[in-house]
Amino acid sequence: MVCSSSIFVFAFLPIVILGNLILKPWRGAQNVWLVFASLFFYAWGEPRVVFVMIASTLVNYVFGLLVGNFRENKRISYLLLILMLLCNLSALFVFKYMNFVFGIAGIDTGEWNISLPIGISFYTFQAISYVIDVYRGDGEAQKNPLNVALYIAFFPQLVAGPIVRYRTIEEQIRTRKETAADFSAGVQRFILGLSKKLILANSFAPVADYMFGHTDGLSTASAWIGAICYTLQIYFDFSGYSDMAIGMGRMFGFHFLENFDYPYISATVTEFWRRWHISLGTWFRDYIYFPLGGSRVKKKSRLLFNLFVVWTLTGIWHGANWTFLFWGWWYFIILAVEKLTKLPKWIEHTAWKIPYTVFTMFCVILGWVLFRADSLSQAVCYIGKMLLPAGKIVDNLSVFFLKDLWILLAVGILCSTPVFKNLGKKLENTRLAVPAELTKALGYLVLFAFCVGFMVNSSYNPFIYFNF
Amino acid sequence: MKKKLSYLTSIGFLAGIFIIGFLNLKTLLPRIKETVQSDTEYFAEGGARLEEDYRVGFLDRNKWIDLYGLSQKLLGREIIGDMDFVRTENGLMDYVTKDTDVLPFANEMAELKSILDGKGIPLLYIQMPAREEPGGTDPEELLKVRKYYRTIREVTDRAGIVCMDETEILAGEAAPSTAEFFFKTDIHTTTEAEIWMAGKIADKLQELYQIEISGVIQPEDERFYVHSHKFLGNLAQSAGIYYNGVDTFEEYLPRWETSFRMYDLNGQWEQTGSFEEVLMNGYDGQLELSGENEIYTYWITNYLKYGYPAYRIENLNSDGPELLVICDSLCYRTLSYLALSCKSITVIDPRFYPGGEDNNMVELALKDRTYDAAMYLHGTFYTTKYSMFGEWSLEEKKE
Repeated sequence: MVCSSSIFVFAFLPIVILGNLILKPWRGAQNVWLVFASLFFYAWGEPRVVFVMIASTLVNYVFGLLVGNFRENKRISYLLLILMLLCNLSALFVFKYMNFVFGIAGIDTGEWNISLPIGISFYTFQAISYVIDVYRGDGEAQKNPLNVALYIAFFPQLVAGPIVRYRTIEEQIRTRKETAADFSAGVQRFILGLSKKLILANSFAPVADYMFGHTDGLSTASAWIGAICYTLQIYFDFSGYSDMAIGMGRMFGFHFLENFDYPYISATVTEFWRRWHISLGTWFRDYIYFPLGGSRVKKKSRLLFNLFVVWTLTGIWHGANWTFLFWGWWYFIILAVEKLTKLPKWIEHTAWKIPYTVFTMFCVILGWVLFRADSLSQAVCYIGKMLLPAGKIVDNLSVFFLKDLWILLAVGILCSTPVFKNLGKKLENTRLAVPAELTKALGYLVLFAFCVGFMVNSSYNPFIYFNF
Repeated sequence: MKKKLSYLTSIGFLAGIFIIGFLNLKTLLPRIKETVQSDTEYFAEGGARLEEDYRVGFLDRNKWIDLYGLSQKLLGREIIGDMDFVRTENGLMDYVTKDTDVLPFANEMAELKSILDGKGIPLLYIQMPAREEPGGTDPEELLKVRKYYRTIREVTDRAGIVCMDETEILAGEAAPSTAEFFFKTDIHTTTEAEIWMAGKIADKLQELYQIEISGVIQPEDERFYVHSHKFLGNLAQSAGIYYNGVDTFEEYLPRWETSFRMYDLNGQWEQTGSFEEVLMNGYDGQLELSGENEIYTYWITNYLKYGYPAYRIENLNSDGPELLVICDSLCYRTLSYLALSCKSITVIDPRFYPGGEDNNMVELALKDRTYDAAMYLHGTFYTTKYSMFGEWSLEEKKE
């Protein structure tokens, strides 16, 4: 089940909201209700593989208890941590990377070709985060396995994040407050996410798919259109889903951290990674980069090594393909240069900021081409079409798509900036505040109505980050 | 005050999801229950099928699709769905042409010519006009009809097959334009175009083979009673009534008494009666339909026998020619009007051959029978994916 489907919005969600409301006086029962709703949600699309998630939850619950119990004994708790990591990463390896690794080794997996359970990267990282936070003393081990299940498997963020840290959610599992104001804000956030996903991402997706599916015959203009469409698709797809997750979380009284902060206005690639998929970036920062020493190392070679490890893992987290690895290394190179030259600091208040912002966007777009391509050779071919026009620069196809997309591109580019947010802030303390709020409230309902049209019209509803 | 205003969204949202959710449940639950009881594999892969049935059976789905179409119109989109449909330069909707292999079909056309030559039956190959403007800016990467037509013509011209294509069909001042030739929301041609085609075919058969078809329907023919319906065609069912508007579908009903017999070449069924009873599937006037009942009725399939592989129409009141036509549905009204002036028209559609041993409907049609002329008429590439001799379908051929 995807959160942008009609059955989710009009069948699953009202039932869960109603059950949650009825059980409000009993927090424990509420949590149980949400756990079972989440398991149902997952099993809906993955009836057999839901047991993998249940097993992951139970294993990490046990590890949490053990690590919590033996926290005083550094050696045992450390061994338990290693064992926990081995268990989780083994599962991830089997389901996600085994086919790839065997492929490289020339081993035919044949009948053992295992399909990827949806969201495994997300919930595995969340589970690891739980045990590590217990180990570090950043949170107490949950005695109640259903609370661990709720943390790991809560349906709003189960399949595509944000990766919620245990320490940010521990308290909320027991003592969250569900208010009308939070619910309202959650609804608006959910509708925003739904609109981003259905109206924007799903509109850019077919064009991007077409261009990447017909790389050979593309003109330069068509290649750029495809790349830009994918750049916008992935942003609205993923940030839209995060908005829905955060919105739904808020409807149930949970406050998840932000996962996107208008990444396409970034002046540097360093800034881009503080604004894009924040929960993943901070996860790698806190659990890999900082333990390796981070930036506070004496030798530059060590810094480069730390960055290399993080970006290799970031790339490979996204998928078992050389394209993801190279995508990670692409950012490693740029970030290494920015870090070593301290470039973000010295362009900040100079005339170089704007050209470098454009350059940043250029790097991001090229990165997305690597990310989207099915193979390295396709990525090279596609980027070649973009940068080295050998054939036509503009053709009927590119003119057609521009004619089709120009309004959508303008809307998409506008919506990927904080223009509307800043406008809202400006109007807040003026006499237009009330009409603006009324327009906003009704505007969300109009958007929702359009979204329903998108939902029931077509079964085409791709979700990029479901592949992770 | 601002906080209270923001509650409007959540009130509206909750009202929407609960009321619509409840009404959907009320409508769909009995249907789904019935399906589940008869199909034990319904939940074999989780809830995917239920999800799809829920979406397709959604309350007032057509109205929501209209809203979707309106949003696409506001966004100036020319592409609908997952590259399913495009709107061409001349304002017509069209399918994005799927990749196909037309050479097997072209080679079979040469074989058909050879067979018909042996029986002394002249062959006319008709390539219906493409929907996009000739020489326009619509990209051939998406709309490949003319490209495939050219590939076929290389073979059929070499085989000496006479072809009537859009350069001839749309020639002349009186000819409809491309935009007038087709419905803007449906793959099929307008009634005006079908009437035009009837005249063009009659003229061509006369010119080439001295076959006389008299009294062929004319544009604004007073011998016919005309009734118009609003019509949302198959290209716009997922874009709604606001995206590209709706079409007007005209029915031409003969004012005089007619008598027809239509029967399956395999002898499985037979019908007799008037033009409306036989050629229009028992059209009962349907004059009072309005709203959704009118707009969403698929008027195209009122005519002839969509889905049947081989049947013959006999006009019991005519001494006109006898024609054999292999075709897709892009000429159903044309053939219906021609049938008013012909003794018989035998219709074959390779898409619906039954399979098995006796699968060659062309052979069946030619068995112990001759015709004044034969035609192969197509506009899309549906029929070309299937052997007219019942020997292959494109998927099998590729293997």
